[in-house]
Amino acid sequence: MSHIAQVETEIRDLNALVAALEEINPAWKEQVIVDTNGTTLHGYAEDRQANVVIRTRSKGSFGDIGFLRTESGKYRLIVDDLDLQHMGGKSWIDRLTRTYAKHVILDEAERSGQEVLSEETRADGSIKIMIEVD
Amino acid sequence: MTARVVVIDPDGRVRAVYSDKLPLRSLGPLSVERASSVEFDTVRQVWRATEVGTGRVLAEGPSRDAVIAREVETLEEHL
Repeated sequence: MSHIAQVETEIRDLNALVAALEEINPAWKEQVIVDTNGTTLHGYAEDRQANVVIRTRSKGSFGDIGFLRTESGKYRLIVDDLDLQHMGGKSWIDRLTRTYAKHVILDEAERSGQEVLSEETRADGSIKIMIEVD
Repeated sequence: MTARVVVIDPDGRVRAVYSDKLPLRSLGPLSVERASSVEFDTVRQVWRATEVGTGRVLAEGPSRDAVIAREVETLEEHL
């Protein structure tokens, strides 16, 4: 008998988050600032700190994009509403989440010595990954 | 060689036929539902895997191991 497992992806892995951000926007490559102590985001009325920062404010956005590591270990997105709307709103967040999940799966497979046999993006945007487990 | 499938949905949720060997826990909280049952048919002398809920036959045959392997493949085809 088998069971179907479903996971609500939570962004907790810093390296996979940075890799996902750089994949969905190659222009951000090497522009992502990581600071475990927190860095100030530009473009917000009040002082806002984040642990992962992309300096989009200087590129014409209303504010920088940031991710703040919460006490639970999850990274919370900080972004100006209009900037998020411009990037695609929820579909951008979904794309980031699935790209992040892909990087976690590929990284974990590599760490475990498992071979990734295929990776396919399907018509609906979902990603199918086949892994050799033994 | 055993290959397993993981599907990342458009909204970032991840689904798979459960295996301890898949890195699912590192992604977030799991929810797990039983998908199938494997029973022996004493009349026909075969193992049969059926889908929970629909009763659809996923695999059938004399080898329990082969039926389970085919059952997983069939479930993965529909992820």
